[in-house]
Amino acid sequence: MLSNMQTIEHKILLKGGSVFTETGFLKRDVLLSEGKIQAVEKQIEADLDCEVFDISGCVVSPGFVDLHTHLRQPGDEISETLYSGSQAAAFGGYTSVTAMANTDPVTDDPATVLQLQAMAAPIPIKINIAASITKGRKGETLSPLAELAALGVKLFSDDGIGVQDGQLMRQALLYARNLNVILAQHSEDELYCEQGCVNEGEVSARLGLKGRPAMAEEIMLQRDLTLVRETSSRMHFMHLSSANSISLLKAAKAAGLPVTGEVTPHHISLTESLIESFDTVYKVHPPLRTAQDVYALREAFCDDVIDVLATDHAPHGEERKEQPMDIASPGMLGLQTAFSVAYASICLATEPLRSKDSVGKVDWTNQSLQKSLLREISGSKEQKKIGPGESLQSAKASLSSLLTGIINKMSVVPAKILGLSDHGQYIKAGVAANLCVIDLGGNWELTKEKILSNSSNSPFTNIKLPGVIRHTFAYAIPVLVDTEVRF
Amino acid sequence: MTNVKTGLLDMSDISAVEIRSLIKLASFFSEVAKRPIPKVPVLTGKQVVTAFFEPSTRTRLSFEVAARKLSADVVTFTTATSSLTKGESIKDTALTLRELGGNLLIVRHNCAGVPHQIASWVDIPVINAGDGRHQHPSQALLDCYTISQNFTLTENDFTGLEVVIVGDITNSRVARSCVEAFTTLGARVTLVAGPTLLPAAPVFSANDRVSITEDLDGALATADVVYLLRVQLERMDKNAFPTVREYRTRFGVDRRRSALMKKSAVIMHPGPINRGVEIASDVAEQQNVLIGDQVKNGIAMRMAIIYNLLTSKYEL
Repeated sequence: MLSNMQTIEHKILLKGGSVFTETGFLKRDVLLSEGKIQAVEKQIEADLDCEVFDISGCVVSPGFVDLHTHLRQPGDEISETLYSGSQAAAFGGYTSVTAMANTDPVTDDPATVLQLQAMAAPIPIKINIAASITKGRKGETLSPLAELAALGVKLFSDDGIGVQDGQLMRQALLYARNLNVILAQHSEDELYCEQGCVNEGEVSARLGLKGRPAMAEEIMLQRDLTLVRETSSRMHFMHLSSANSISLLKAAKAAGLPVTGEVTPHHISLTESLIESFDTVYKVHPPLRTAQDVYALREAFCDDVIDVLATDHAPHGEERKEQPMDIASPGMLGLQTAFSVAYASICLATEPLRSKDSVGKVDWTNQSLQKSLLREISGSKEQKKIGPGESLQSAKASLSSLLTGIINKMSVVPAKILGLSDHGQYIKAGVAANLCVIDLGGNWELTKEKILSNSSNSPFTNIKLPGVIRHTFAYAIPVLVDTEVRF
Repeated sequence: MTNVKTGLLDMSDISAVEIRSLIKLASFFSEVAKRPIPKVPVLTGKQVVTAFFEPSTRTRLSFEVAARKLSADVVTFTTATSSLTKGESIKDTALTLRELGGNLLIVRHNCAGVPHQIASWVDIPVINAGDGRHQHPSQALLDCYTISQNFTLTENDFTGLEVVIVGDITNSRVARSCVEAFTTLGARVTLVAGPTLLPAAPVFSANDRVSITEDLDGALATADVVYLLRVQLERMDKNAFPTVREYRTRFGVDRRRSALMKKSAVIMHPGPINRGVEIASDVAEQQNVLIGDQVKNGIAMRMAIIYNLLTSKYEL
């Protein structure tokens, strides 16, 4: 699979773009070779042996780092593999993803972790193998956390289901406290979710579908925040979806608890009313909620109450989706569309999608805003750096500061959480050349043919999306060139 | 009903005008039932398929009798297996039934939306014969027809009629369809149920013709129609009420409660009834209980629905 890749001696010059640096976006040329960014200068002249990419009007961003990816290997290779998922990742600008442990067998022992790490090694996208908190994700006994941490596992989660037993979660937090790992929770108390398949509320009441109430998420979150307070262990909360969860997380952060929060692209862009079409592509856990929740998540994103945008990329074959709503598998694809959806939702403030538009296509682009963002970025003045905790939502939050928030939450922050030193670094000379080139003025559409996953359960397929990931480089190797995957 | 391709899935797809036309057509088919040969040859050569993924006897039989009285051929597909059992997907089943030459699919499933999903996969009309807790439109239509027979109304306008629906509203597809149908025709509806028997979100009270109370005695005094829902223990949440006895005490209609009703008021129930739970056995035998009429009218109304979907020339 590596045969048609350039050798690492090959030099690449990215010319005419704006680069994402610690001090904001700067108009710079970038020279890559030998796996690293060799130079970031106002003007770099191309050598003869240099491949030049004209990227005028584009942004050079750290490659994205996904904290939450289902790659379905081992056990469900028909839905996705490390390889197919990595292709989707490269398309979406990701240079690193984190494979969740809800595989078959569950990734909960050294043998499975080692095997997955070996399988991941030749793939140019860095795949962090996550493992489950509890053996078999059964919520009964702990997985060998220390042994797995020693193999390089950085993130543990039973994702797909939360750890229901509070005392077990408490033990997990205590046990993991000094292992330099992060425990990530899927917050939903299943007691309140029996047979539930959609948000509990107006839509579930009208359709007579059993609900998964926001309360189920909030109750577990509240429990875990108390456990974090008592154990002083770090904890990460995955795919938060309700306005009240945001209030809880905000209060916990204000109290100084070592917690981080994540939202997904779909929870900041889609609403529960889509379920009224009975299209199971919109079924996901936690479920799509109300427009009010969507707005609360977006605000929390802009205010840094939310730290990370993660995809919860969850491929499912048609045979698992073309089922009654109550038994269809929950989850949706996310890697290829994550940036565009975040860009539309946060920067361009598109309306949350409420109903499946069967007549005309949905358009999430906004030419005039996209143009003013480009003007802002390529303007001579250097943007103010947005420090942690500073409000991006403040009345005059510039478009470029909103974009900065997105890039940080898709790269810098998740890399920090995982302790990755080669990923999620500001663009500067000397760091590993894991990066992507974003055409902010460009638009595109995810057609079925463009889906690189082995499954096609994307809810974003008939939507005109803003922002194109033009190129992705993994250790200076072009893995995506002009939106074509090169491995 | 204007959409001949998709069929009858939701009460919200049907206007008051369409409901009234169906009532008129159903009463014509009721006349047919009284003829020496109670059958019309209008659908000869058409094939109606009943696909019941959830056990049901009366609704399936009612549809099949209706189809036969229109001279259609009937193919029956039932499955005793629950939807959780692995095997052929509902999509493959639906496509197979279509390929067997079906002109109309009548679908029941224990999950909301399955008839809608099937309608999106096949190119023939689909009738929703009950999907989970969601909708049961043919039941609501036959109930409208039954009510229309028992009151003096102009042009089947239900304005001025007070309907009281009692019981487990949140788990009832009959309630969802009936509230929509009755209020569309102009009636006022009072739901009698406690918070555990009502949906978490106030979707019913959003309709200004609907009110909600826990006081059954009070509601009975002004009711024209008392519609009792079956206590569906199989669908009910744990602890929706403490005991059957307590349910009966609060929401069951016995002789005392029946005496609170107006002389002209009637009692309806979608069947099958739980004697001694939602309705006392002796009350069930009273003259003003229309359960038998509902079953009989079910055939005529389902003839009207099937006829309407399979004869494109007929304009409502």
